[in-house]
Amino acid sequence: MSKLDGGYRRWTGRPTGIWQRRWVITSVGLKLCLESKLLRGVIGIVWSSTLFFMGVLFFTGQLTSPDSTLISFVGERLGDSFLQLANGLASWVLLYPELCVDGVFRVIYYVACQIYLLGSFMAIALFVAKLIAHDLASQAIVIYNSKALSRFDYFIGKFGIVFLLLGAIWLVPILSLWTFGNMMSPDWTFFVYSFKALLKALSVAAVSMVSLSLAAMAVSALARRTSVAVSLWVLIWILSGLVGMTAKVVYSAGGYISLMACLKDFIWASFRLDLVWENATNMLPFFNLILKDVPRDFPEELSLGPAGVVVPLACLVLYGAVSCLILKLRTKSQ
Amino acid sequence: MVKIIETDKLCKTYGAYRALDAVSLSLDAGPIGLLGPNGAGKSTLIKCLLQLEKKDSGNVNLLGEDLDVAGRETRKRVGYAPERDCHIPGMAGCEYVTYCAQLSGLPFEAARQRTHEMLDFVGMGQERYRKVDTYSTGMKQRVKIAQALVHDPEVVFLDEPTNGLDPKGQALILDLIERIWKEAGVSVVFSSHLLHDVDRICEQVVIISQGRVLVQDSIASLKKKRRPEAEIVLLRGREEATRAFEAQGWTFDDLANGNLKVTHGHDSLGPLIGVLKEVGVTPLEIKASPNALNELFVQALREGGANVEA
Repeated sequence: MSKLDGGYRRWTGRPTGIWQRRWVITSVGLKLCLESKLLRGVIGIVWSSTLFFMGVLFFTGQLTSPDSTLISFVGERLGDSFLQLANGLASWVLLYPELCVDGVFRVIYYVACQIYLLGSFMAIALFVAKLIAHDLASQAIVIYNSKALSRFDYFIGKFGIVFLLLGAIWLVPILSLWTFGNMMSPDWTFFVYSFKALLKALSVAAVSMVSLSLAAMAVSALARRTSVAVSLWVLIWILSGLVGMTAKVVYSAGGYISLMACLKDFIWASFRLDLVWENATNMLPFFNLILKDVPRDFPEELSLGPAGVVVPLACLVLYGAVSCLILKLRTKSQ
Repeated sequence: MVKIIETDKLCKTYGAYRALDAVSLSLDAGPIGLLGPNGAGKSTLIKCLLQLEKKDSGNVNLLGEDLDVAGRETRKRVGYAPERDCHIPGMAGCEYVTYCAQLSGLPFEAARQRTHEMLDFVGMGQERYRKVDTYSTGMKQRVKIAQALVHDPEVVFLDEPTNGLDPKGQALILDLIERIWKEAGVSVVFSSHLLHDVDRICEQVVIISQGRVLVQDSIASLKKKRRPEAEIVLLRGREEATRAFEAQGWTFDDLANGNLKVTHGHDSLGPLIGVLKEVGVTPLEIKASPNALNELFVQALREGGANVEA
């Protein structure tokens, strides 16, 4: 930089690339969003639930280890039926390690994904206003438009904010569960046998994060005031849920009017707990004895094989396309 | 000299309303005033030059680059301070300017350093560490100018920067705009509906009314130009004076206020004063006709529907 009279200096450095400028939008936006204690709290609750699931995985791992001190300790207190269950599991693992480990992980991931889904909806309600609505309300959108950035660059930057925040809710716990859950298992082969369940969980996370990110951005772009954005998100969440429940009575696919219902069914169709159940009971009649009183109200329409994934996925793609259209139209007029 | 802005028959309409009507301009580097009443098309012209609004037709060259070809990359060389507030709530002044610098392509360290230099340049003190939401109108204007300058542009567009400021605040902002060209060598395109502001700091002026360019010239040249007319306030010697004017072949009219309007045909008032002196008439006052800058501005205001008399 060369100094001119009067204190004004010329800047002669090399400008950063477009991805770095997009990252600036993301990083600054993330910082603004994470100023909210409530949002940090939601992420904390999600992570705490993940810690709990890690504990469950550790305990399940110990169940499959016949000489586990922990199992002996618990068995002394809970009696023979517990030890019977532990022995049953151990033999199941020995006979069908791939099905047992995969099954346990699918159940854990299914339950965890329900929590992450709810956490995502709550988190979005807390930061949706700080995305595009924030810029529209304060006219800051003009500043972005006046820099060497296109509308696409702006969207990529904003998308990064939602994607990373949702990543903290989905990706970090899913990967941590797999890594630490298996690290505490008695056998390293658990890593291999649970890999399929991890891939399923990652695909669920990717679909949920992309569809929720687009929906959050579209809702944010619809509002010109930050408070309206929050209300709109909560309203859409609750109303579409209610309408979906009503519509489902008439036509089973009517439930897909709700984004949450779509994602819930996609999660179910990905993990297929009905098949896990079936496998477990077929292979070990012992399960029939101990789980005979557990209700099995699996959705019928979702036991249709690949079609179970296709329908909610198609609806999510449709919602994504509508969200993109809203974003395009709403920011064009600014 | 390099032309910083060249437009050829630039048109922009909003529905049936013609905001820019075949605007053709050719402007040199320096402080440029965009003058016209509210709704004349100044902001639309700036927005079209910055591609914030899509033009309907016509060609635009900014800093020697055809906007249709160069696209948004030209904005790396351009700064813009919009008329309305555009800060990001929750950010301190220095954070906001740093962020704008980074959006313009400065690496973080350089952005931080340059932010402080620019905030010093626009006269912001410790208040730079306060949230922008708490700033006065004057401070917000200064921060807007700082963000427009932070990436060291070649030309900066300031849309009505003195709006909403008290006279002292206006004077401070005008001083600052003057320094941008004089000290930094950055061309300034400054839009205003106040003749005084443009007259004070600009070298070139574009007067716009109802989307049309009434004139594009240097301020000095427009100030020199005036119709060869004068209004004379006489208490005595009216007949002697009119006879002398007839002898010179000059035409004259009686005005409703009782004064005499003479078309003398000279650039200065010297010959008129000489003739009156010869016939021994001492006028109470001789008012030269307004210069072209004033006249065209008044014309723009009239076309814009403003009450000029008021």
